[in-house]
Amino acid sequence: MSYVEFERVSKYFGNAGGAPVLDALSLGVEKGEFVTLLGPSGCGKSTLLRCVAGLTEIDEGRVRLDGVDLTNMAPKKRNVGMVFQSYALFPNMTVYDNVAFGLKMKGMARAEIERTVKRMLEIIDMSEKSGQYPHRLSGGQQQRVALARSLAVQPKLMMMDEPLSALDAKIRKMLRVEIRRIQQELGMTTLFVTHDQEEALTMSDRICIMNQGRIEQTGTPEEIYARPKTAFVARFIGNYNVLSAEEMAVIGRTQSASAAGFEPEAYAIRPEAVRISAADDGSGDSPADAYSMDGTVSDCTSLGALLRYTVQVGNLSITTDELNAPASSRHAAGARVRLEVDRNACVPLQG
Amino acid sequence: MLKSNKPRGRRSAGRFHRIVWAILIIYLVLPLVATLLYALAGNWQTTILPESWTLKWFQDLLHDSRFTEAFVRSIVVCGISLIVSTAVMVPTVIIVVLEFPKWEKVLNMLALIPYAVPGVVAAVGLIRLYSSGPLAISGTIWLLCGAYFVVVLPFMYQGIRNSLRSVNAVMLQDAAMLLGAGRWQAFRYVLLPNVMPGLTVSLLLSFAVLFGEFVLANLLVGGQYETIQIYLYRRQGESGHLSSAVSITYFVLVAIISGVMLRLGKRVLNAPSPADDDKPATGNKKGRGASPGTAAPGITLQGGQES
Ligand SMILES: Nc1ncnc2c1ncn2[C@@H]1O[C@H](COP(=O)(O)OP(=O)(O)OP(=O)(O)O)[C@@H](O)[C@H]1O
Ligand SMILES: [Mg+2]
Repeated sequence: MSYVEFERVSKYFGNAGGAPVLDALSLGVEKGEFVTLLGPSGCGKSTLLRCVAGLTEIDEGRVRLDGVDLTNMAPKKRNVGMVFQSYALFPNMTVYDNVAFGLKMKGMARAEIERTVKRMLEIIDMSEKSGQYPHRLSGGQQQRVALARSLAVQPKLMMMDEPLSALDAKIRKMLRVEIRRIQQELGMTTLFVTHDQEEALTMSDRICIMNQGRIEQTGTPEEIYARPKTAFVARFIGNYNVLSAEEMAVIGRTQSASAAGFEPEAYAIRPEAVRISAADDGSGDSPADAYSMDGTVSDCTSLGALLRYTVQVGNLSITTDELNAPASSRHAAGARVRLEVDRNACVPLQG
Repeated sequence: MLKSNKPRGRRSAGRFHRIVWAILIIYLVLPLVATLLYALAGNWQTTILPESWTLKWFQDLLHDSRFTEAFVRSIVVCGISLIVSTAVMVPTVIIVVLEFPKWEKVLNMLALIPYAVPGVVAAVGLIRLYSSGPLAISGTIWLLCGAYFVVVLPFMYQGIRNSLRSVNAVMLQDAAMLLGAGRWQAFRYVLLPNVMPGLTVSLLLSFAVLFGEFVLANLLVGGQYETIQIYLYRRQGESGHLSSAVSITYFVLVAIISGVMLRLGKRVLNAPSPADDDKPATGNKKGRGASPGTAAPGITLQGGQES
């Protein structure tokens, strides 16, 4: 059994007849693991965390932490920590008192509180700010204090609800690294919520893609990225081209007889797996294990290191990424191009 | 051209500000100064400033035991009303905002009643209702306190609710509970201190309103319990000088009480006031060092060390 165990957790808001916000969701998290819940807005990520914390009641199913059933326990007894998107620091207390709050509630001795708080402030590198009030700190600093405050009581499970979403890009990247470092140093079991796929891919041991109260797929970042199982996951992560079986047949058109027999309903093709070249050069000599097709460039945008083309093939629109090397000539909008995709780069999807 | 334009524009704006300030000060202070002069004047007939000065009126006033009594009575009535109001409204508003947000509408409507009912109407109704039956408190200060409770309802409700809104109280409570605080501890150490700044303002406003309240006091208790306003009303016909002295004394006393309440509001429960924002960081440290005595016994929320 896993360290944290979700067993068919369901939650309905309002009338029980409506669509559930959490739909018989099951998930296991191992000790020391960093698991990210990734999904679009409103898919129930925050609700799931609040159910674990006891801030929202579970309608069906149960949650276990380290073998203990949390389902009907008061929040303060659950031994879980939570970091909120908007920090939720106590404005009437200094940084020191914020971090010390949980320890005081535990009834820890004064000297020990002082030692723990000092260590926490060192971990987040905020020792010199211990006497400041939260409204004097920057957003990034406030979130670090909130992290220290939760870490101080040594929760068995740490939950973070989009902790970096309110920060600007540069601080976000720094804090990402810092949170991951602290998490690994302390071996902190962590449930992390985000809707930023890059954040999920860089920080996590495991990613759960959530959609409409269910988990569509879980796996390591590499698995999720390289082998999406459903069209939803493929679209949500990595801007995959998702093609139905008929559309695949259109692509395979030049392959004559072998074009038939696309059994799964849909396929996903990563944009960087599509090679793009001008239509006139090397026509006809495409490798046998690749699909090739002709199309018209309808759009070209620069993403810094990458050039992203949108190519119209018949009535199909295909996205491709190419390295933005200075030497390579760009294909202007309206240019005729040839696209090539290796057969094994087409990932079959379920449903 | 462009360069010289800017400072000139700013200078004229500065002058405009100063003129507005001056008008405001004159408007507010001049009557007060005139009253003060009149209270201190001995003989004042045909000159701009009084011909002779005297403290007679103030002596007269301060030696009149009925003045001090009336003053104390006013303090007692206001004090009881505000204490009861605080004790009832703080938990009520916090509980409604945090746990029963749907009931906020009802509370909102209740808080508007005092505006809807004129004082005289309310007084007549109250007297008729409470002059007989099981709760015959007509003519006692308890009826007055009850009426005052209703009068200050809007101020108290708005002040407390706004402070709760501005700190996102629901989330703070969640955070506190996840850190191991029970409901009571979350209330005592997180919600209450954050309500304090708003509550202080509400109390000051309410106090000023109640202290100057005449209609209800006169109709509900009248001569049986002479408050400062009733006293003032009774004596103002006697001599203009005397009633000026009463006004000045009244003004000074209210100012002192307000000052004391502001200070208390800042100290009690270690609540930082919004005004702290524009002071440098050292101001905070001082505030922090100055208040260890106010923390509750058993658990202190003061940082143990200065960095
Ligand atoms: N207290 C509530 N009462 C009624 N419905 C709610 C409540 N809280 C959440 N919901 C609904 O539950 C659904 C999931 O909400 P939740 O906050 O879990 O989404 P989320 O995945 O965290 O989204 P986001 O990425 O925007 O934070 C939403 O459709 C929301 O409207
Ligand atoms: Mg959310």
